[in-house]
Amino acid sequence: MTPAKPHSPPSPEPPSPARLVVTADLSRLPELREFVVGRAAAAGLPPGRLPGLELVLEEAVVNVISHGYDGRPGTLELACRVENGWFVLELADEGAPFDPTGAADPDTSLPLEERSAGGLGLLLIRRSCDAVTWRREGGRNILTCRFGRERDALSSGRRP
Amino acid sequence: MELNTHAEGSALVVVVTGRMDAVTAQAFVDRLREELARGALRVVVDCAGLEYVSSAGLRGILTIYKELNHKGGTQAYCALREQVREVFDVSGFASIIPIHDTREAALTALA
Repeated sequence: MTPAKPHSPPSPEPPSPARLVVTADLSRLPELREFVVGRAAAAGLPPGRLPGLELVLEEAVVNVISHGYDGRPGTLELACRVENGWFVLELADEGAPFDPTGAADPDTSLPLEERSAGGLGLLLIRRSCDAVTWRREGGRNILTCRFGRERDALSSGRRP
Repeated sequence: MELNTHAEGSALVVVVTGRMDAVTAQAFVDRLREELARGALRVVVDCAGLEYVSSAGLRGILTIYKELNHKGGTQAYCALREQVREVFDVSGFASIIPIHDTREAALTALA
């Protein structure tokens, strides 16, 4: 006779996957957004930080597709976690080495005719999260973006 | 993203609703180019329903801004929501493109 199972507390909701692997294609953007925003909300990130999170996600995914893979097919892996109170979004791809943290900010004071929209994505990534780091590991680009609970607007936070 | 256009006086009002991102920005450029080809010279882009803009959206906005400028036209954006306003500020677009709180103010400025 098997021993009676000890009384167990109500089982928590099964954790939804904190990792998502997709083909690196713009058509997957809505699905990626839903995944990341869902994880962030579950982790308690304030609603005011979600637009910045969505922006970081899009700009990073566009970079992977256009710079990392340069239009070639490839995969993109997203991971979300909470670490020391930060909500952490990590993107990994197998494209060409590309360090978005190393590029200079575009000159946003140039007159109209000299302005291009190049580099703005990287600027928006840096301004929308609290910390962004890049590393090359095992043939992959790994971009890590951290979001704290404090800031709620990308123009009101601390600037690098 | 949804785009609706109508004339108000001598201006063309473009009402943008939804998200202007890497997926949808080209539709904005295509639609505005059609309107420019039909002769629109005063354009107000009403962003009251625009929930989100990314650098891809900014690229589209800058493209149309330059093209209309080259034709001697004028344009203004109005009723920006918080996220959109912040992206315009951070990118420096707020110092290039005239922005007004209301559609009425934008129409008055272009008249």
